[in-house]
Amino acid sequence: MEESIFEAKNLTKKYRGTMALDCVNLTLRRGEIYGFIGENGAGKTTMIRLITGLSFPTDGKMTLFGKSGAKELQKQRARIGCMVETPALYKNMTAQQNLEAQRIQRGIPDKECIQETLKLVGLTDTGKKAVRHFSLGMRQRLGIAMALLNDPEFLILDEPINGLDPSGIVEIRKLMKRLNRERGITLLVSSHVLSELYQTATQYILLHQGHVLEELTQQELDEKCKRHIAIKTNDATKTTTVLESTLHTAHFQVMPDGVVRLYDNLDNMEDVARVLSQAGLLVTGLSLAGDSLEDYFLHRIEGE
Amino acid sequence: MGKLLHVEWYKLVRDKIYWILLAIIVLVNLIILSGGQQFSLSGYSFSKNIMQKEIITIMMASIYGGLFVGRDFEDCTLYHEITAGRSRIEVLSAKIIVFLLALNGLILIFPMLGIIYCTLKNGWGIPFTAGMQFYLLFVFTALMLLNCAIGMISMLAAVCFRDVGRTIGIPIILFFIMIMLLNGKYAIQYAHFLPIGMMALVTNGTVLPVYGMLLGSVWSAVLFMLSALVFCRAELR
Repeated sequence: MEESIFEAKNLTKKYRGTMALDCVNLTLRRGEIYGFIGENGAGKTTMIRLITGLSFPTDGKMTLFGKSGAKELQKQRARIGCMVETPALYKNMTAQQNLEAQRIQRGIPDKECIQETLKLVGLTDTGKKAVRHFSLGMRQRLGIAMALLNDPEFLILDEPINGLDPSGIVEIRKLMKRLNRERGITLLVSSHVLSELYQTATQYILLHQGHVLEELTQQELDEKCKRHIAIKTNDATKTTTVLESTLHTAHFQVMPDGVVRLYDNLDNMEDVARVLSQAGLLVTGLSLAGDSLEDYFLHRIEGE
Repeated sequence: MGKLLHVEWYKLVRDKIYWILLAIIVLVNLIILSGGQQFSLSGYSFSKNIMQKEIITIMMASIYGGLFVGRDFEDCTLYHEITAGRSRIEVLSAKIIVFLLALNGLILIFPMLGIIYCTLKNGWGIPFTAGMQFYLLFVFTALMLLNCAIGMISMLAAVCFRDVGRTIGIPIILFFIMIMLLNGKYAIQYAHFLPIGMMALVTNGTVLPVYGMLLGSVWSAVLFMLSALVFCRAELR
């Protein structure tokens, strides 16, 4: 499961003086669901365009399924399924015809896959309705179906829940998780709805102004976002002893910078402060911390 | 490449606009020619005159070029092939081949129907010798290549501008410029270099079809190379 699917080394993309991606180093491992987070213009879609071959890097190296070089990269792209920004659909055709065109183009021999994929995204009853009459949500589902038709090993979805109603969002979330769990598909999902991404992704990549700000696992994020009292004293060891003996809690963690994170007594901050002072500790910082993914992301980019 | 051609063909056959345009072209030509004596001519005489009256057809066919190719850029459907790992030159070539076949269909449908109708009704008009058959084959090939040259203008506009509006607009503007040049003081000279002018020269027998074939091939090849150059380096947004 540790095999890398995609690697970027010093990947750079410049658009007429604008640095869309600046020396990005990134490794995507097989079997994970990556949440791609960043503001508008952070470089998410540029990165996706580079991976999918719609755009060319200004500098740096990309490796896809262990292969690099323009020709080899293009060959390997046959193993990818993607939906970049809005779903690219033949508007004068039906959902079935759209998938048939994709099937022919991908050289998939089995026609059964069309019905199976339509069922997977919940679009079996669209009949002869042309795509131009589809709602935004239906188009989004069909776009996902187009990306899934070739049973990809690596699925890239740019804003997949745009235009979906709440039940559609839940269905797509379940679908992404199922594809990852049952078929072992690696997903790279970019979304502005961070709360939604939080429920899907197993890894997060924070992008800001063309740089990878941070890469972290779900566990690391949970750890960072967990609500706690951040205690900074002159003696971290003594602080933990006081917490154990006086407040009778072992629910804390000492961070590398010496800050002690206390995960309970959140409503008793004054008591915590008093106990520490009474023990002769010099408290230099005491604050309630912990974020949602959204808050965490905002704090991170504000810190830059 | 076969799969790409197949998918382009699949899309063309299901494109209602193409079939509607084909019907409109036949109808418009019927209306334009119904007042004259065209349908009382022999098949041979009809074939000599018809291409000079096909200016509107050529313009309408160019509009379809904008729709067929420009739409793929505008809706980003062209990107499916690229993100699926196909080489850009193959993607472009498949699109061009099917588009040029479709374009020739639009431009040549009415002349073909007219020739068949006039031949059945009034006879061919002159002895239908083996030499004549070869000559007709050459004329037909020359016309197809000249049509391709006209179609390639739409293709170049499509890869340069990647939207429907300009892909339709630019060829029409160029088309009118060509018409103006062909109605000016140096019309004959220009006709030897411009595909539309050469069409008239080939069909009325002023020049040998081989010149038409040559001019059509050169224009098509140059425009194809330019399109390929632009498309293979294009940042697709």
